[in-house]
Amino acid sequence: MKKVMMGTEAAALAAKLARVQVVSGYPITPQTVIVENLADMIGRSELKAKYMPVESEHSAMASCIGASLTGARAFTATSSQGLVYMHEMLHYAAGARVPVVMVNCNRALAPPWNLYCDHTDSLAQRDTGWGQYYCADAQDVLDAILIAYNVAEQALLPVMINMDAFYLTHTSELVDVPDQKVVDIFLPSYQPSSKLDVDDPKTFGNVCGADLFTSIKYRRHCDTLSLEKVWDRAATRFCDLFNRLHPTVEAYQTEDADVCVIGIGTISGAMRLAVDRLREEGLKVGSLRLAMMRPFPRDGFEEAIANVRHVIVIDRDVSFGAEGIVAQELKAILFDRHGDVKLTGFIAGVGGKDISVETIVPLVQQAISGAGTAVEAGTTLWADVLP
Amino acid sequence: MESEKKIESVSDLPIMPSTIGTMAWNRTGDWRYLTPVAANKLAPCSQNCPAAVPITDYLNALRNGHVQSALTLLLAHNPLPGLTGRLCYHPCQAKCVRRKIDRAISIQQIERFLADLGTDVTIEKNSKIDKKVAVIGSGPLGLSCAFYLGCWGCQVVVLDPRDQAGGALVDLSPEKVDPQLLVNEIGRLIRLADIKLETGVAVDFDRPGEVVSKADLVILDPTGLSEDFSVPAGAVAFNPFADKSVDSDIIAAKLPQNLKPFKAHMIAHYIGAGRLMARKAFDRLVMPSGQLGLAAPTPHLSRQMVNMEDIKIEHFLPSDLAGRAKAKQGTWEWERALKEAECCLSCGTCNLCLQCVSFCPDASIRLDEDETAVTVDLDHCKGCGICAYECPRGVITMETISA
Amino acid sequence: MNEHARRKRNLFTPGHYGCPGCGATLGMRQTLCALGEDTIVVMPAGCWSTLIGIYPYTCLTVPVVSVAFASTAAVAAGVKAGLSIQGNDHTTVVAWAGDGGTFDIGLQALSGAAERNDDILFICYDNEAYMNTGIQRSSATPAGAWTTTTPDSALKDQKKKNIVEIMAAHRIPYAATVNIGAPEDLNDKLKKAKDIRGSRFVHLFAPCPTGWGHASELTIEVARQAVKSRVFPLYEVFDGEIWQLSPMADKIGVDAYLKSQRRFKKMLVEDCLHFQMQVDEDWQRLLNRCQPKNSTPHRQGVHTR
Repeated sequence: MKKVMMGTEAAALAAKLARVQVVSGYPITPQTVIVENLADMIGRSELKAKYMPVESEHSAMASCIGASLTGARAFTATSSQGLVYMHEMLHYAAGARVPVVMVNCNRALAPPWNLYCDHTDSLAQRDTGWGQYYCADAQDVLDAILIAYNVAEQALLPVMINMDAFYLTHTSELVDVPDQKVVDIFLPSYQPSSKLDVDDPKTFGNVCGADLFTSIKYRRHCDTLSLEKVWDRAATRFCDLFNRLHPTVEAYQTEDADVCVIGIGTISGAMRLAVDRLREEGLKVGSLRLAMMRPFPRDGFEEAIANVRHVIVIDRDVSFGAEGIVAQELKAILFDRHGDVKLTGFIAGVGGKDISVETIVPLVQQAISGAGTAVEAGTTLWADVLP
Repeated sequence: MESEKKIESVSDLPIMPSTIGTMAWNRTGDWRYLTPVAANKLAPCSQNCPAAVPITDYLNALRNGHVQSALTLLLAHNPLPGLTGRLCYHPCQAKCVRRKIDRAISIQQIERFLADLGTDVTIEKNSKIDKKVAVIGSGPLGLSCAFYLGCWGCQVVVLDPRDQAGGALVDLSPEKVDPQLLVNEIGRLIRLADIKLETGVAVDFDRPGEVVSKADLVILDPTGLSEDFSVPAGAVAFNPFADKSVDSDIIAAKLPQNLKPFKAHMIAHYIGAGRLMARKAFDRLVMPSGQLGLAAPTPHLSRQMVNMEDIKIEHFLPSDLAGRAKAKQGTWEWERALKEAECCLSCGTCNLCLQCVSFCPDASIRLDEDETAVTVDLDHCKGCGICAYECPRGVITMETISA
Repeated sequence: MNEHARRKRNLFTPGHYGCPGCGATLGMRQTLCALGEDTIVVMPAGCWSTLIGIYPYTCLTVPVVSVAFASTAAVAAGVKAGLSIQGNDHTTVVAWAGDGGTFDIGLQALSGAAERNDDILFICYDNEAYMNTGIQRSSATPAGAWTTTTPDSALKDQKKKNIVEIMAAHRIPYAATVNIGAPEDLNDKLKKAKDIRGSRFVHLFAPCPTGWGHASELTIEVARQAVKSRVFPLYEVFDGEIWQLSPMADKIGVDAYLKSQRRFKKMLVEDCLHFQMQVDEDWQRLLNRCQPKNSTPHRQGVHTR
């Protein structure tokens, strides 16, 4: 059934369809609609769940972990400051192997205060071991949450679904809401193989010596790497049931491209338009949206840019003192091909600065010709800096 | 200790970092340099008892409802409890630690209660050996001596010139000692030790009868006899308190001044003296290393002592120190005796209060399998000393024990 | 409580890494004895999370989660929510945190859980410092005490934070103080707490031979002295409103208590007098709050001394 709704409404709806059992809510712009809607749904018994109006994001994640350890399906949502506040617990959740799904609304980090779209918050969590997925539109938000639970509960790792502040959280779009019965087929109830159980008592997470610690982390790393394949399989199954694709990378006209523009999130729309326009001008260019960032979707990516010679990355984030995080990730992946692939990294759109076709086209041209208004700083080129 | 499961490969690892076994394999016992030793010690009451009766032992048996055991324990150390329960000046009660709280346990009343139960009990004895003893004089000393020798296996005959047994006890007024009671007490003693009593038999040492001439040892108890009694020729005077060994086949008890003439209230002293004599007499009859078996008499005597200062009133739980009913004279009924026994602090004697067990931070001192004692888990005990310190009755001490 | 000795399945087994004479380990033992098998324990970083055992082994046979320092009450609340939504309302969820994880870093989550009246039993085992990391001061450290961060040159100035007052202000159904030296009282209160629904807070006094500087065999004795001197009085608070004393031995001065531990050794005479004064004031304040014997509906036989 198709309805017009904001990305945050889609997220709340997805949590309801996923029949989450424990919801922890702490408000932060622009996530608030999610926790508000869920509070209402639970209050009206539309969703049979416990709502925990926690006193901080750190406790939001902590309580989700506690609930998940008992075998309940747990959900929370946050953004920027809240996300980084719960950083400690993100590490904990992944280490505890609990399949929590969290929606993060990508927003800039203070100081100074800025409520608008920026990817530094979640990208800065890339080392925590969560699966990370970045949505393109409201439909993607809804569907990805359902897929995420499926993936998380198979791999026993938490998954973060990211959506751009305001572009997705507060923009209304047409969304096809799946039927609860079909969702139940795709996503049956969570059946953990191990949980807190008084009839089978264990201690979770006590002090560990170096030997076992190494192997535990190794095992976890392997399992985290496997998330790409697990996602692919789940997305395929999802497509069988709902006829919609949610691949880990979304490539546009890259098959014959020499140049490829790469970004994450809602920028994908503008990137496609820029590709069309640049192709009219004769440039063999394509675009790539990385949907999954953790683990890095190696297989999908390498297939998409097999023939590309020049990668142009637009980072809506920065790792201060280094460069754009997506650029860094790509450089790592392309290390073996560094001889024949050039990478130009731009920082653009931070703090909610709009990225449109008009932004992207000059950046591509600057990347190719070397002339343009983006300012150099280390290995990065910053767009929209004051003169 | 059970062997623990191990993780030997990545595939053994649980996915979530959860445990697979306990810490029992960790021998924290290696940490300690002092080890708790739980060993019963002689309570102040028993220390002061002239017969060294293990009072706390039988009070514990009684409080647990094991009346037969209580009586048996009592009889094995004091074969005339019905008499001591009326006549003794109960020095035990003078040292009772309970006095620090309210008043002494009425040990004598309980002793009397148990004695008067008169239930058919048997006590453990050695089987009879081919050693004959004649005891002349059936006062408490002679009877006690005969009793113990009989329990340890000797064939004993008690001879008394008077028609009634009891020696000087016979001369006491009926108000003090009911004659029937005397008969019952002595009768029980004789039966329990499986010995013989012949009254109305005067012994002439110049013309000894069959019993005396066949005896391997003759013991004379002259307590009830007149002051000017002289030891017959060939008999050696023997002071059970002072003399180390019996050097003759005919001995006559020689008591210290404070026990002459016979004083009824000192009856426990005579019983104690009788046992001491029996001990040394037995050594003469039987090789010391020989067949004593269970009749290593009064094993509790080898216990260490516990002083009144070692009893920590403060460490008793409130429920241990619950209020007492008023004192009462006369013979008690069952409930009263039981209640009183429950008030005994059981100084030096483990009564399984389990304070040690409940205060151990390492769960390393436990009630053993058959629930009769506590044992220390030497693999895990860290030697912190809490059990010893907290034991209200001084049963546990910390010792240096080499590996 | 002594029936624990006869229990077949031991919830607390030996071989853990606790110091000899550790009050906190005994506290856990007594607690599990009162609460029984149907218990899940959530514990943060602290003495217990390291002494419990080394992975993959543990000394407890109830489910335990070893969580991040600040998060105890929140994880416990989450555990309870998860159990509850799956139909299990009988398992007791215990948050077991040290004084650091309760009074300091854990206070926010604890306050949040209490405000929501989350159905958890939060027990603070208080050894009055960050002992696990090597005896650093916390807001539970008493004034005048030595710790590594309040060394002789700078003994702790501030009074101990009154955590039960804070919890009472949240109007939770039940709060109480318990002491390992009063095991029957501890057992009663924990059994009572187990059957109450909503947030319950228990402040458990756990002497530490290592950090306080007393002989290991005196742990229980020190605990007892704390009660007698009213440094750690025993009482309960119902709904944050009704304060009720528990039976205690007669009050004595703090001298014996202060002398029994090396951490108080460098206190000057005037500091000791001040300490006594503070204890007396706090005791009087508590008395003023407490109900007289006849008017309370909650308990019999209260000492109002």
